[in-house]
Amino acid sequence: MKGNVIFKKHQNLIFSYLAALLLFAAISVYKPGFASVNHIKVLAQESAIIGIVAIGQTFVIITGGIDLSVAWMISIAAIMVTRLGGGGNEAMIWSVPLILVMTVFFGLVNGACIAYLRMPPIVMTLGMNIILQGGLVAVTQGAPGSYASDLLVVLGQKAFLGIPWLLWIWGLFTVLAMLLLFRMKYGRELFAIGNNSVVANYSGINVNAVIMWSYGFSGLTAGLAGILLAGKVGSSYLGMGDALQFQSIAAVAIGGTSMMGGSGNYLGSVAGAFTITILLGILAALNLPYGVQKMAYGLIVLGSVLMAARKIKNSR
Amino acid sequence: MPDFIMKNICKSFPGVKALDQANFHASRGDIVALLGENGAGKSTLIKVLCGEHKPDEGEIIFEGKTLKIQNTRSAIEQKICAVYQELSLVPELTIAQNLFLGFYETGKTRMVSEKDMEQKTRDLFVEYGLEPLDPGMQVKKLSLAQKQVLEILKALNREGEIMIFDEATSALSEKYANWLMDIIRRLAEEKKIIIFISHRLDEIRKLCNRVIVFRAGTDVADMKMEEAENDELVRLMLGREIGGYYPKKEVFTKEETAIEMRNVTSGHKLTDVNLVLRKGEILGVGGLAGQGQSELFLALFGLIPYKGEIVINGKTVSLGSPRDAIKEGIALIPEERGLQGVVLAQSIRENIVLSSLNRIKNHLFLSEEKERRIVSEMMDAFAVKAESPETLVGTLSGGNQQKVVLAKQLATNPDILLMFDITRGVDVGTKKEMFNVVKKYASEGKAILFFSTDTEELVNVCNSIIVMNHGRVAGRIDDEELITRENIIRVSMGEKAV
Repeated sequence: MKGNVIFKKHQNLIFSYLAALLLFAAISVYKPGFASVNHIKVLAQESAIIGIVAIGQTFVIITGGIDLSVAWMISIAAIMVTRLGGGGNEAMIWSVPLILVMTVFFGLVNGACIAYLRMPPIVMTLGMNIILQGGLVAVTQGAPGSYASDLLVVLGQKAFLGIPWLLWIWGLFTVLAMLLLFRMKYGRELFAIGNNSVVANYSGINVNAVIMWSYGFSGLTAGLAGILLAGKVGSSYLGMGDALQFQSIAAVAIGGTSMMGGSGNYLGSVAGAFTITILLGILAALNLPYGVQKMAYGLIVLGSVLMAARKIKNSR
Repeated sequence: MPDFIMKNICKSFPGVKALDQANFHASRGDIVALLGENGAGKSTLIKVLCGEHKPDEGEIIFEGKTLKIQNTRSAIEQKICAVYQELSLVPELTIAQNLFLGFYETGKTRMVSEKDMEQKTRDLFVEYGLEPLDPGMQVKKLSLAQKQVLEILKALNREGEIMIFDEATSALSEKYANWLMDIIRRLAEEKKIIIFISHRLDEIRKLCNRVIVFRAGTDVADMKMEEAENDELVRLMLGREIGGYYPKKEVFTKEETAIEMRNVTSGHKLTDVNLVLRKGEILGVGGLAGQGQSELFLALFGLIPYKGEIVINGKTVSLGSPRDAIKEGIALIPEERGLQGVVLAQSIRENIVLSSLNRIKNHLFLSEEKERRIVSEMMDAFAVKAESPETLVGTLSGGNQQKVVLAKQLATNPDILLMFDITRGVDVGTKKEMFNVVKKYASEGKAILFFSTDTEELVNVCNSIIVMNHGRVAGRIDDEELITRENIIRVSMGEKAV
């Protein structure tokens, strides 16, 4: 009975992980090299970047909003960390905090306009994305970024105790996100607002501030992901965050967080991040033409989002 | 044989048998009262009839034919129309658009003519003897009572043969309740079948000719109205005897003032309100509907801006938001529990601590132990009936939901309680429990501002009464002997209580 209750409560979560595992098993049979230790490490590193962006995205989506400005927040962070102060190890002592403060600030501007000025989240964050893109192109005059520092390359590509540094970092932030969502006042307020912001207001919750900070967090995790992405790639270029926009949202949706807000779990988004990485791996392994790959990828992700949404509806 | 029969209806939800071999029957021209506690199965029966739930077993027969009701639309097409307790209007649409939503005859062109729809709306207002409202006005701008009237009009407009009124009077003033009862009598004369659900026995007695009592998911009695005694009905509903309906009145009013309003004005709805509420006092707020009572409560909870002074414990406070109000020790039990009171999609536990998260915090983190303690304490205090604290509030009966609202707002340990119509749509047994809770909090020295649409309740629960008219306090009755329904009306018309 008790096990049954726990299963029901975490049904969405369990299905998300099962789906990822199943996909992985299927492709491993087809392409034995897929399951090699080295390739798994590569997949994990890919997933980590998506997963970190998905932290803030999960928070925002729980409030019933969405953040479509992460693409260029990531690009800005990546370009800046490779160029500020020459992009060396020493410069990172001040450039990393500066970059994160900046992306948090952009996020807070998003949040403030959405919460206090009642801007629709889609319009506001999409507008912000374009402003950031324009700003970055204007400042860099379209020149690509530079090479990542040695330290960033270690974090982005190397392992510690056999496990990639990116996974350690992702794990740490996963713990923090889960604490924030389920063990702290902020998480409770977030879920209440996503379900019914009128009740939340009547309950004495500072609804606007909570919403504003969810976008601030999204800025933080997007900035962090951008910095790490520069290390993983080894250099930076304009538009390097574009793909992560859709991936982060899809990871959240596949993970069983309701796009209407009010319910969800970051651990689901973690499974969603793995699912997407495996999917991209499969499509690449099938040697399909690039255009067909892209189309298949879009269709499959939309399909799984649809399935996840139906599961949420049924379990309510 | 009766014209309309529901036979052996069964309906289960996970963990509950909501209807267990329930029966119901009525003939044309009947006005049948459906009585029962919250959770007795009345609403489920109605939802089965209206196609919102599919029954597990049972049969519905109308004029010898078995009805197949697939969904709500098919119910309406088979002339079964209901006025629901929970409003089903779309706030963003206009009055006319709401009235004809989904049932507008477009003819061949498939076009909706706003003009025609608005004219038909005006005709409806005239036909049912209502003061006309602008048909082009958005529904969200209406008061709760006006919305309820509109809800009724929407059902009447569909011209059902079987008409159901589920707690349709609970949000109405006496004037409109009487208006509705006249309409229902007219429908009965036109040989329609009326099912009337209400918790107000006096209303049922005035209106209905038969009464069917539900308890624990099934029908336990079927009587002619004039043969049914009040005590007998209450006993049948509860399955046990209950003593007097209202607890004995006692005065716990102390000398110290809990909260004082000085020349408080808000928009057009509140004008120059002066008010003193003492510790331990139960102060009733009376008057005709929509005279600023609602705004008085909203202003005191920081939900609408005001000019003037509000003083708590000798200190002028600024109430700019519910957060400020809760910090000052004020709690509000709001008007619409599903929209303002509780998060229906969350558990009882999450709801109860939502207003008092600071109380369950250990530095950065929430303490599960503190949470559990507060939740079980409050669930006991209000006798919330549920399988576990993890049960979703949306699955509870109306009365239990209201208990969760009370538990949630009182978990903040307030000194001043603003109770806005806390017994709306709540059954007899739960009402009695709530009156006892009100009395208990007064005896602990908490100051209580108490509003009810039911004047009888004000008279029987409150130590003093203020009467509001056009946003002003028209008068105050302090003498226990003078607190009567007649005097409340007198004062609202500018006369003195006698």
